[in-house]
Amino acid sequence: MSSDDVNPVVMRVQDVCKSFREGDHSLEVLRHVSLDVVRGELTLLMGPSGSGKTTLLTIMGLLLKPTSGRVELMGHDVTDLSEVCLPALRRRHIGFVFQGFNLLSSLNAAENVEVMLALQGIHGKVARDRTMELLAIVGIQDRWHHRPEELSGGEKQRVSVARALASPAELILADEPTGNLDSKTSAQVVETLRQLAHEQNRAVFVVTHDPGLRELADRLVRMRDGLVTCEKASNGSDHLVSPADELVRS
Amino acid sequence: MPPIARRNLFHDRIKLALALTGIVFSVVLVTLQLGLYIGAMHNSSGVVDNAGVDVWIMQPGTRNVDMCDSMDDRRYYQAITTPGVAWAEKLIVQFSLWKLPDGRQESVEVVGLQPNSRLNLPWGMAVGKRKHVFQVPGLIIDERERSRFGRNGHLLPVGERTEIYGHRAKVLGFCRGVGTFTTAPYVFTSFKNALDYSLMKQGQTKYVVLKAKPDVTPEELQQRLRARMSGVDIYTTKEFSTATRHYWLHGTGMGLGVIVATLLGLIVGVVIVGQTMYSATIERLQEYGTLKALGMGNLTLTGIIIRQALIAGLLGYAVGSCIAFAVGRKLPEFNVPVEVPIWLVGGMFFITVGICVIASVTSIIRVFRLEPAIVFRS
Repeated sequence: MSSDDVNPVVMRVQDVCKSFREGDHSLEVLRHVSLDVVRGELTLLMGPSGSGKTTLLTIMGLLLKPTSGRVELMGHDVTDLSEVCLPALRRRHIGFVFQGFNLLSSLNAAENVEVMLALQGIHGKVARDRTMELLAIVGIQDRWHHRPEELSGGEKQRVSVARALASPAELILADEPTGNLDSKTSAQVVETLRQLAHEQNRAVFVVTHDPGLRELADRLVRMRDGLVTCEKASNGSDHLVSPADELVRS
Repeated sequence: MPPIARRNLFHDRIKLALALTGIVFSVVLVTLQLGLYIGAMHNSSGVVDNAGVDVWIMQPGTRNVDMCDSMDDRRYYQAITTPGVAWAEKLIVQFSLWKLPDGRQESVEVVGLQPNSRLNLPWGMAVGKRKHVFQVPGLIIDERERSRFGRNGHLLPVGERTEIYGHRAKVLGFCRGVGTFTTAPYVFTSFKNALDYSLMKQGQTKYVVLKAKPDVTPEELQQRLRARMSGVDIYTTKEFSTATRHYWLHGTGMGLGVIVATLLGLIVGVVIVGQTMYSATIERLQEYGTLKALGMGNLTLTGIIIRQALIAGLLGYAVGSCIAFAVGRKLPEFNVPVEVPIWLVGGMFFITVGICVIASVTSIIRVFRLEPAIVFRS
């Protein structure tokens, strides 16, 4: 899949539904969700617990297939691609930042970043130099040799961000990246993500509960009961996308 | 790629130590069991293999070297006149009873050799000379039996007088490394003594053994003898050795016991390495899920798991094989017929690798089935 410089839409989710079987009945988690994630923007996805945010993120990360609808990555339909093809797509086009950091506990900070570079085929001194650059970008180059257990929550999340930066991904998906951090560290991490979007022209999509991050976002998406209820652009204009939004407002 | 497998393994030293203990135990167990099998195999056919002859003639129905009916020694004269025979000898191998100083009796296996025998029996001398066998009533026994046959807890000395089946006997030397499959040690003596010690009559023998001329193969000589002689079994040394080994190792429960113990050792190894690898995999399932989410393929993950198992296996092999080799060298001194040759130690490397790969299968299946979406589950 080649990168498309003309089309700013990195990921397009169209009319996606997702339901899970629970015993005899089916639980509908996503209902006809449509969404574009655009280069150079930090998009925040907010909503109450159980609204379907993480399920949407999992589908956008090509880790789960929708029950119906269509998912496009860089203009290509990837909805029904086989499990054999998906790892390569994730490796090249999608970076992840997790709430629980998801660092490999037996590797030090630098090695955790190097894993991502190794997956891109970058090894040896080039990988080591690049790793130190990335750790410097997130401000923890002096902690490179520490294992995750020896790092604070904020430091772990920065390693996690550096790992996401190590991939050439046009799309960075972050799941509650500030969920385990204090407010000051949260602001630093989100600022880093915002710089990623603005300075490296990547599409950054962040799921969060933290209302304090709204002002940093270029675009805000709200979800409730499996529906996208509202998209708000950085210019402040609200775009009502579903009648259910009335319910949210009320 | 950072050394994930090695780091995973060494991250928790206590767990690694426990795993290695299991692997070392398994390697030692399997090596010694196989060593016991090899030792028992060599011991069971030691007389046949070391005698230095090509063809054996015996009563029909003989299944091993240790149990054979007597036959008329005219068979010797029949055999020796066969074209292609370089030389021939009569040989007695027969169970008997050695009277201990305290009046108890111990089973022994008398090996009777003709005067100036050209047979390479006994094949290793520790004390005394081979020619002492031919002195009347001299005998030679393995040095490891000295405590069992000694007087009042003392080691059996050279010159000790005793009785075998009521006939006088005198210890004139000790051989080394001459074991038997049974608990009855070989006692080498003259043919004449052996007749007495075995309650055999003059004019009888147990075997006629023959050496073929240099231009005659054992099989050719065997065919010629078969054409001339009836009413006897005629085996080449190779055939008789195999028959004897087969009888003792597979015809009795002993060999099966050794094989079962060896298999148990292998199973223990597979289970220990497998359990260690599986629990290590389960503990790191979230991390494997993360790697999958980041785009690592199943094959790369399989490589990590196998590498992890191999590192553990090789460490266990290095320690275990050294222990097994050292123990294997020491045990024969205590009359345990274990042989741990270098090729067995080398072969254990491949067995250990096999154990590790087999043991990784459950972990690999688990990781193959792992959904990377696990990364978003708290």
